This record gives sequence, structure tokens and C-alpha cells, in this order.
Amino acid sequence: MKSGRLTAVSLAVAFILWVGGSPGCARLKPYQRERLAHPTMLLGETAGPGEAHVYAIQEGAVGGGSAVEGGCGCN
Amino acid sequence: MQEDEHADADAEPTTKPGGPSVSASAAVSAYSDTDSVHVITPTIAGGVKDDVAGWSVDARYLVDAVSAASVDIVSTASGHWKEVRNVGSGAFAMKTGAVGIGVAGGFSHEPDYLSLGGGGTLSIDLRDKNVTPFLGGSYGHDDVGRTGLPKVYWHTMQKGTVQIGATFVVDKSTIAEVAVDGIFERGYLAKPYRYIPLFAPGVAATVRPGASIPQVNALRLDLRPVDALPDARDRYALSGRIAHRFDSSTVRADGRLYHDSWGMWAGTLDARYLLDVSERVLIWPHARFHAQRGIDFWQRAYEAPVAPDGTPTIPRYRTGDRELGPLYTWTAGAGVRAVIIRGRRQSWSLTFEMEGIFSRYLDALYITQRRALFGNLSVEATFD
Repeated sequence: MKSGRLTAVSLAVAFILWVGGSPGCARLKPYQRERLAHPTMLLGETAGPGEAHVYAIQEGAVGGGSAVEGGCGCN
Repeated sequence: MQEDEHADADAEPTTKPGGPSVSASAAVSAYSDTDSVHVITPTIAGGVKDDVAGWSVDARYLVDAVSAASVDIVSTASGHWKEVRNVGSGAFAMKTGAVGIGVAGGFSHEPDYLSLGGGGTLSIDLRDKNVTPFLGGSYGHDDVGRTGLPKVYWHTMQKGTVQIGATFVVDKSTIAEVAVDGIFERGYLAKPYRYIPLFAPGVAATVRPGASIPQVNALRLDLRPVDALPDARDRYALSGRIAHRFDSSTVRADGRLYHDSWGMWAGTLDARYLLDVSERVLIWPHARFHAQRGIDFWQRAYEAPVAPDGTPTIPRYRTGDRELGPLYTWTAGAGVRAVIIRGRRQSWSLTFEMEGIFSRYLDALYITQRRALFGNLSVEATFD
């Protein structure tokens, strides 16, 4: 079971490296990045801390970049 | 002098060659749901950064004031419950050439819970900044207790996280990110206030989803042990993000596939459409969907078989935490951000967001659904 999970994670990491290094990705020069430089194009967390905390408590899943504080949100 | 200040504030911005800029924000968010949980959260935050030099420092402090009389509280014959949570965090990031590093730390404190944690990230720009792999990790230590219980009797929980991923430019208008998270939790993972009703064999099957507190009390055994869960949980998430810029709008979509060692599978999709109404006003509708399968040992109603000597056998693992059971949630909302003052050396903006959240619990006691509203109002100022 553990080796299966390890294989799955290894495959996912390999996929990331493959996608990131793929020649299919664009190779833009700085002067071609006008649209990418728009503030709405930042890939950070779109939900604020309060909203992210609500999702963290109401959903059983975590991960994917949510910067969530500790605290149990019990009861 | 006063005229000069006004002229300065009304002037159109100019590009600054460098130097630090300071930002400060204050926000209030509020949450209220049909399960009688209400939370109000004031937040203050500040930061200093120098984009040209490549460094930034940020800090944030918030207070959660919670008032609750949920079915989980009422079912244990407890009264109305109020609590305050204090949360603080800080982060530092810098970039040297193609390499970026970041460190962050934080705490969260409640009368019955203390969480401390810190972590770091490392990234490197490759292929003319078109591909940026990153690696991150963090460690956290939590103390979990009950209000009034001496700390010597509290439990501990430790959490380590690892994240590896890459951000890459797809084309002139599209950027994407793929990442894998591993979150490894060890220690006390249960809920100390939650007591689990047990039923005689054959009776549990008659307890319907959403059975009320009187119905459950009429059917359950006198025995009601506290929540108990395994002391280790390995959690994995594969996530992707993509943003595409049109002439005057941006589409942003996030997806996550999740699995853990307790047998939960979950998927989450989140999308926003950010539209530039004018140079100073941005609006966005937002939608989110999350669905999950329950953990392997999830049961709506746990049975306690009785031994020949009349002793009931308590299930080793039992939980009433409905967020560990099968469920789905829909979130829909909208937001608006308006720049109210934009000058050469300062900028002030207002942001307002409102979200409606509908949760459907497919196999839980007491409630089958919950509706919630979340709102946030913030003001942010930036000074060069």
C-alpha cells in the first residue's frame, strides 16, 4: 500500500517536471509579457485568510496551496 | 502645503525606478450558518517590499470571535459556546538572481488549542523565467486540550508538509501551475469535545441520515465515548492552477484531487472571472465545488456489540465529524475592488466580497445540509 502511494507521488512529480520542462511551453521574452504582468495573473491564493479557513473547516481535503492557520475549528 | 498634498494625491501614477513600498490593510469578515455558528474576524496586515531589490516582509494578525450553538454542541447537552482565536503570521521572501527563497511562521491560539509552525520555499527561474520549479516544506506543532483542563493532560499533534511543483508560461496570455502536496500528521487527530452515540446491533441501521437529537437519544445506548481516530494520517493533493488574460478580463481556475491514508477521496474545482469594469474597478463572480467520499471507518451510526457478559464493545475508531463523511459543497459569490485614491506615492483601495455556501451531508446524524454566508470588507493602502 505504501509503495503504491510512493509510486503515485513519484509519477506526479515526474509529470510536473515533464510539463515544466516541456518544449511545448512558451519561451517568451520580457517584452512579450505585458498580459502576464497584469496583477490578476498572479497564481497565488485567491481566497483571503478568512475564506480559506472556512474552506479548510468545511471540506475534508487540504493541500493545493491554501495558507491555512492552525486551530481546530472544532464543534 | 495642503494644496501640494492634494495635488500629489490626485496625480496619475508614475513608474518608480525602485525603493521600498509599504502596504497596510484592515479587514473585517463575518460568517454565519444555519447550524447556529457565527464568526466575526477583524484582521490587520502590513508589509514592506522592494520589487527591484527583490525582497519583501509581511505580517498579519487576526482575531476570530466565535459564537456557536450547533447541533454537535446541543447534542452533548452543552450550552451556548463562545471562543476567541488569535492568529499571527509573518513571512520574508527574497530573490537573488534566478533563485527565490521564502520563510514564514505563525501561531494560532485558543483557550483549548495552541498551534505553532514555520516553513520555507525555494524556487528557481529557468528558460528565461518561463519555467519556475519550486520546493516547499513546513513543520507544525499543535497542543490540543479542553478549556480548564491542566496543560499536562493536553494532547499533541505534529504536522510536516512537503510541496513540489512548477509554474510555467503556456503562451503570451496564459500561465499555469502544477503541484503535489504531502501532508503528514502524527499525534492526536480527534475532536476532544465530540461524543459519539452508540447503538445496539440492529438498531444502528434504523437511524436515518439527519436523525434529530431526540430521535438519536431515544435509540442510542447510555454509553457515549469520546471521538477516537488513528494517530497518523498521510494526506496527498495533486493540484493545478491556470490563469488566462483576455483584453480586459482574466479567467482563473484551480483544481485539486485529494487522497489520504484514511481512505478519503476528494475533488475540488474553483473558478473566478475577474472583469476590469474600469481602470479603477474590478469585479468578479466566483464559484467553487467540492465533493468527497467518506473515510474508510466512517459510519453514520456506530454499533456496540454486547459480549456474553453484557459488556458493550466500543469501536476502536469512531467519529462524528461530518467533514470526514461523504459530502459535497457548492459556493457561489462575487467581489468588487475599487481604487478610491491613486496618487504618485499612495494608493487606497476597498474590497468587498460575499459568498454563499451550501453543504450537503450524505450520511450524517443531526443535519443533512447547512447553508452559510461569508462576507469580507477590507481597505488597503500602499505608500511608495
